[in-house]
Amino acid sequence: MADTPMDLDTLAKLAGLDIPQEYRDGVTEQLAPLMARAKEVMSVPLPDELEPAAIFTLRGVSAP
Amino acid sequence: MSQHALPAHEIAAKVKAGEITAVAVAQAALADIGSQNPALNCFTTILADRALKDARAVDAKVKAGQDPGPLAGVPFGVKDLYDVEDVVTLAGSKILADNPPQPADGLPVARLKAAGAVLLGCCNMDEFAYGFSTENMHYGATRNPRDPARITGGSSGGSAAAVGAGMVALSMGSDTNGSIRVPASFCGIFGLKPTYGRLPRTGSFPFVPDLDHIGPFARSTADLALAYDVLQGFDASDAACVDRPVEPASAGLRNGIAGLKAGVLDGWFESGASDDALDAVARVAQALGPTRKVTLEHADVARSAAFCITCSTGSALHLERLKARPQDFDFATRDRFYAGALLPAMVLVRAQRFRRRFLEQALKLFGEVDVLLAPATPNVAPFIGQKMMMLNGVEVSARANIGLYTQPISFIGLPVVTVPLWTKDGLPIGVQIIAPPWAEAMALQVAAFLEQQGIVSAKGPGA
Repeated sequence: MADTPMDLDTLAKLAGLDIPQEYRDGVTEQLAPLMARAKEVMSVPLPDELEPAAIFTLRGVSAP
Repeated sequence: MSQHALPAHEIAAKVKAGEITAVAVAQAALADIGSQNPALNCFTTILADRALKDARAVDAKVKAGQDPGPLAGVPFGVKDLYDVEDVVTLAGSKILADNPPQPADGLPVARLKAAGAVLLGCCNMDEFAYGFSTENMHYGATRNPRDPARITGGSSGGSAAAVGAGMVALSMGSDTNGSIRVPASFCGIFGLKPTYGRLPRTGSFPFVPDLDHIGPFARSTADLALAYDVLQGFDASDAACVDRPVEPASAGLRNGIAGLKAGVLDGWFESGASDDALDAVARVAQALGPTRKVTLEHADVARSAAFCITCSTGSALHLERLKARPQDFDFATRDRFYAGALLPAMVLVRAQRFRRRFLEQALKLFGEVDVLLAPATPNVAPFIGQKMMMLNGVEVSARANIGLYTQPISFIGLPVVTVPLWTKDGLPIGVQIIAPPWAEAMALQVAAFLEQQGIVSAKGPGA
């Protein structure tokens, strides 16, 4: 969760992005609060049995 | 008062009774838009021909003795992320302007039209719904009808301002992190963010499907409930839409609040709030009788989790556009989407797990109280171009912090009615009436009670 320019490149490549030089200051500026919030999310202890709330449904899907 | 500026339910009653025509209402509304919109910039597309055609169809039904619907002749606008026949869905962007026009109305627009409402145009918003200010780089800022030097809030700012300015009786917004509740607060009107999964979003451009809600704006609770009732009904095309019976809210609106137990959220929901915001919550609480303070633990983490899910999921949606046309994004949107693309997946999984935990905590509170109260925004509307605002005595980014009190609530999909109050300086500020899942009717009932008591009103001082 670093925000140095080198990390920006490494992370961006993973997402298939090549962030143009002229946007990097702006992205770094946005990355800082995002990573601070991410750290907050990661800091809360959660029980193992707690499942993610993301939605996936097969409602309405029938076998071919 | 011009007939288009009447409450929606009065317009519908008069149109049905043949006292006024839908065409005359549409013409008056179009003239008002022509007069006010150049200064306020609420509408990005004005649909005069369509409006008059639809209005003629309503009048023809009345003439033929047929029921034109509960919203007969009511003029409305939609945030420009709703699909409208023959119109390109822009979602506040330059990039989507290259798309073909929509072949048909999306479901919410079609339902309102089937109820007799007359669509007048599409309303300005933050690019791709990612913002709280409606200062759109491509289509300009929408100005607050209560003070044109101030923002409307966002991202549904054009829709809220059009209702606040009286151009239309109803409008539609969407709310991912507060985009109905924030502009309702800043523009001094009522807004409803229903339970997540209540209203089908079919035919609207997504932002974060996991958090996206649609809902109406109005100048009264009666009109808000009327629109909400028309919009209800399961649709399987929306994966999040839950198959529940339609639960109309209009009929019970005047049932009062006997036995109601209200709780005022403290902690996170008081911290950083201006005196105006705290005073507004206190006035609502006092009107509802004995209330108690309740704590929703970890609301700060909920807000952070919503922030991370939004940034990452929104980024994933726009990744190909980000690669191909970064120069065509609003810079503020673009830089946040870039940042979102770099967020480790672990954070997302953790945020979604925490979401369940946070919902459990909120549901426990509803074992003690029926509704929760909280400010909709930490302060009144900032000025256009204002970058920073004060929070707890510290200067912070206005854009990033306006949704402080709305984000934890939409994170777990609870229904909220935002009600308008007025500060001693004559500016609006909203309070969230938060209900348990699927209890929109109760939140609307509480809002209606406050309206009847004169505690909340879309009419500002001197109006």
